[in-house]
Amino acid sequence: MSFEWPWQYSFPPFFTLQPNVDTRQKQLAAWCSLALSYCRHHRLYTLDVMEAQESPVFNNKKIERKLSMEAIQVVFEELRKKGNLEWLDKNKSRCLVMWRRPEEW
Amino acid sequence: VGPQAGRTRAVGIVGIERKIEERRKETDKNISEAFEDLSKLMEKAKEMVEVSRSIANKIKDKQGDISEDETIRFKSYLLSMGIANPVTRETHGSGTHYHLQLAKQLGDMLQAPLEERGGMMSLTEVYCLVNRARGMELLSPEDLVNACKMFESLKLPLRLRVFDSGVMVVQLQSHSEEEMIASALDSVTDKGSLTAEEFAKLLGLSVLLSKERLLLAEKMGHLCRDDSVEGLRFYPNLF
Repeated sequence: MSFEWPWQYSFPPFFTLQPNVDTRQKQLAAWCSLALSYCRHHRLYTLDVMEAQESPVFNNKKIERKLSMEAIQVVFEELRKKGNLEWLDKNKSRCLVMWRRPEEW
Repeated sequence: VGPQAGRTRAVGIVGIERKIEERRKETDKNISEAFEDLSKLMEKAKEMVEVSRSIANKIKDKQGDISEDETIRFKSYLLSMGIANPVTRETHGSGTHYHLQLAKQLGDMLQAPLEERGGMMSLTEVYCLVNRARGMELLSPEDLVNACKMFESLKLPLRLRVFDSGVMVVQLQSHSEEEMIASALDSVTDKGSLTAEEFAKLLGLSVLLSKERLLLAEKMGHLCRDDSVEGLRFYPNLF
């Protein structure tokens, strides 16, 4: 079974952090659900921030767009606020991804 | 030779050198005289500045009602001396008489060119247009800005508008924002996505103004951006 990308994934603005507050919220929500479903599909439990940028989630080779480092940090931070992510070290370079929140288990 | 020795006679190299030296002394004198006069003039101006400052203080005590005659006259004094003193002046009369008249003149003059350009011009464009038409007695950038600031209080059909980026434009009062944003959204949807340059070409606008339009539409949530090495492109906001 191959992973199904959401429509946003082939929409270039998805890879630029939007300055408009409302738009950015929707964008981040889409990013969060994409990151989670991707990890679930590939059974990933930990992510390295540096490696994440090269992985297909944040790097769409077909439309030649890549999410910037800062934007990835923002997405991860958003996930952490939602309770789906925990940092493994203080430098915030590795993190634990939880497809379900601790409360849901 | 005797008495002739002291006088300069153009003999040989020494003579030429002496002549040059004499000429130099002459210009030196001229220059120092000019500077002396200048500094005297500046001293006079300094006195004027002192006086005007004390008058400004006096006006402060009286606190500004709507443009009194006295403050108006005072402002035109300041203007003729080239002392811009807005911090203390702002509350005592909204602007100068000169700027008021200028605003009226600009109102008449800009109507047609604005309509030609779709109802909006950047301030630098206006500056070019006005000064090129004048030829003599040109406007200073401050004069133009100050005059434009009075459009609204004079109920002229023009408006000065400052975008978030700090770009100032003059637009027709009838120029509607929603229409502008809607047209931007239409053309972007039509083409799939657009950069400011492409949009400018499409509408026959300047790149500066077309960019402001796109940014405005983005701010209202109609567009979103794609920033890459290919340039800044705008897409319809599908989020």
